[in-house]
Amino acid sequence: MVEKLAKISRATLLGKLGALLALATAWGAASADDHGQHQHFEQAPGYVRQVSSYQLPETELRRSDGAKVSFRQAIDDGKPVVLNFIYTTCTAVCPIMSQSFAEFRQRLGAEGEQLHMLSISIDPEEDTPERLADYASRFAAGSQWQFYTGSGRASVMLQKAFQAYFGDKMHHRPIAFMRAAPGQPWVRLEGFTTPDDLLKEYRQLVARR
Amino acid sequence: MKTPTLSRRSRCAALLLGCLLGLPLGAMAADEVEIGRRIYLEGQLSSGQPLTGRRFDGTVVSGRSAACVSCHRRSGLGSVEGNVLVPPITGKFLFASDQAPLATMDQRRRKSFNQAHAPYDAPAFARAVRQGIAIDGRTMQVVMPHYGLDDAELRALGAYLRQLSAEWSPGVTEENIRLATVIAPGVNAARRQALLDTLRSAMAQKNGSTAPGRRHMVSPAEMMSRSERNWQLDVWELQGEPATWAAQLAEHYRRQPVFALLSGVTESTWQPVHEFCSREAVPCWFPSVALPAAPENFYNLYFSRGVMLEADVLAGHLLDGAAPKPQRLIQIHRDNVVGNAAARALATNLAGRGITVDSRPLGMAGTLPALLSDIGPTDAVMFWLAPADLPALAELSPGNIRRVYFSGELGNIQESSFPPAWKSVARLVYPYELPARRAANLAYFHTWLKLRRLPLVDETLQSEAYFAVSFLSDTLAEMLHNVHRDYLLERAEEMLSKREGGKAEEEARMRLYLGRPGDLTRKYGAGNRQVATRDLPLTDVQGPATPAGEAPRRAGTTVYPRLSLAQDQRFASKGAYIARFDEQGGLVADGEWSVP
Repeated sequence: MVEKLAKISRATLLGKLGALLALATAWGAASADDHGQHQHFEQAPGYVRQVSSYQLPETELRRSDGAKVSFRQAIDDGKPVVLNFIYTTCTAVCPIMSQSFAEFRQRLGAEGEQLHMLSISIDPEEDTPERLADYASRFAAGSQWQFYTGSGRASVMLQKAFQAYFGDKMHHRPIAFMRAAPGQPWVRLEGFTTPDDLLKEYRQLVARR
Repeated sequence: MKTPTLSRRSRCAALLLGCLLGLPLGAMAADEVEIGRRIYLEGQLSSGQPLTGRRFDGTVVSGRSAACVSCHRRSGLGSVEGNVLVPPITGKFLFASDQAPLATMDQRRRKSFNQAHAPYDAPAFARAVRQGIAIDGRTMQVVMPHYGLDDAELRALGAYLRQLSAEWSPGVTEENIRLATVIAPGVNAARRQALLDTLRSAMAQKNGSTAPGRRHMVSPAEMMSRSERNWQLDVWELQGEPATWAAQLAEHYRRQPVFALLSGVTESTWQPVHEFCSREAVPCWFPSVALPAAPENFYNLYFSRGVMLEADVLAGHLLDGAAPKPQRLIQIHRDNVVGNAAARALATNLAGRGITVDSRPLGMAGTLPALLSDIGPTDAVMFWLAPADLPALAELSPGNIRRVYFSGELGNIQESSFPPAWKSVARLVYPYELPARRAANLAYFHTWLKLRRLPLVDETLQSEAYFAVSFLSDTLAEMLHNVHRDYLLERAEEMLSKREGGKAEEEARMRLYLGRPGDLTRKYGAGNRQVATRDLPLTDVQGPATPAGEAPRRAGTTVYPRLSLAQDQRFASKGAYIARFDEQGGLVADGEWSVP
């Protein structure tokens, strides 16, 4: 190595440094030509709020602990409900929604002790109770946040009931639903909601109760 | 990564020193690519710390869930989820001034190509990664976290992106895509021929529809980008013991690399082929196998988990309490790779659950009458039998046997040929759509067979092979010039369930024309008919109003009720029926489609 170094002429050294510099300049060279048009069906921050009444059907679901439960009983337990649709192998949308749910629950603290959160799988054949339990633990979901799966038919029926069926799991959109109590209308929040958005909406909802 | 513990400053010093010492720039670039790879794929920084990103809502993601790959995918070519479009970010799409290679991002929006933009330079790239601001100044979608990468890390990430999906995968040229199908030894000659005829015929048709001068059969996007390619099919016939297959596969591949393995069939193990595909990163596209190999791997796609799925479904059925638990379950299976694996899986599932499992290999432990002689009314029997075993059964009567289950996958059971005496006691573990509804799903396929003048030898095998070609054709059409293996698998994950729904409706409409005035086959004869094996824009086919009931809405185009994949999902069909014969001798479901 020493021999080799000795053989390198000053010119070569300078040449190498020069090449480095040139590289750096190439990186830095701003091609300011910035007229490219981007097409994007963009998801801007913010969400659309809507108050709706949904006719909710009865169907059997399976909870992530394996228990078979009635959807109506699960949702009409008298508590305020926050609900969304997810699937566990979803990459872009669901992890954000789920993280937002998790932070929302955490920030709610003792205020949220009466809250019941539900996430229902839109890929129920893949999302076995075990997979849902794994997913729940990724977001440190406690006993107030339950994950449900069921038959393909049951899942589609519920998505349709909430007007959140887009034909295929790959077409799904971020939507959160809230309801203060059984019989009350639902607040539908369509778009990416932050934990603070959820907090604000939830507090409004329960204050009016 | 050679020096994970060096501080950033010493790394820089080392790089500079390396340069001064006259080490080749390539070596350092490779090192950079490796650092970039770990950021991109693993969410890990060169310091060993996890990559962290801040989301639009202030939440922080780190490590693997922050890694670029989870949205931009292995190929770097992005994805579409709902109304979130994740753009391609390989060097070609980010840094090149010529962004001619287009990517379609969404089947529903055929013209949603990525649009040209000014090439990203280092500051623009930094702004994009750190602040989520695109080169045209707009704020990126909220799903894009902001990452606190330093300059060296950004350079490494850039170096990784420049080489990512930069070249077409092996087996691909400007004009051709080379594929191979693997046939294991021991496959019945008629089935082997039926498979090859189906594959070749479907491919000839695909190639015919993309030949110059017949451009009307390619999608508008393909036509624009001139990305349609001719396919060539090699047949890799394996010989001898499975232990020697790896070397045979390697030799085939060395002589003539292929882009993907298409379909394929075995009666025994598939393990060496599965391992070959994992090792060489070659997609193994929907082989017809009863026993998929393990462990699951990115490159191996299967129709279902085969007999392993059946074992799970049957165990669930025996234990769910709907029917009284049998005291004993006697499994009759062939003493071969598939039979033994199936029996072992069922025995494992039932171990310690209050049912004694007694596994009896056929032939070794005796003939069927001997194996069944001691079975009483409180026992249940599971037959993991092949079609060739059924005639022997037809000579026996069930006698004392009250509950008998048959593997639908292995038995290839048909309503017509099933031993009549056994119909009243038989239950089938049936991983397919029931015959009545399956006929609707496969109506188009059967018409296709007739048009191509191919005999029906094995409905499952041939329709699976037909699907394999047709779905590959659809997927490649969507990929345009981005003929990369990783992208193929990613598109398959994204497209499959959507495509199945659309395709079923399209086929139902197409079939309305066949044999009617205006049907080209009447005018030109079946031999010349070119049927697109890929999606036509649905709006282009304006048929007469469909009377209710004539073309029922179908969920799929295969023997399975529905197929679906997603990231990390490698088995497209996920359940099975427990089926029985009704009084007319037709198969009906005994309960719901069961997903274990």
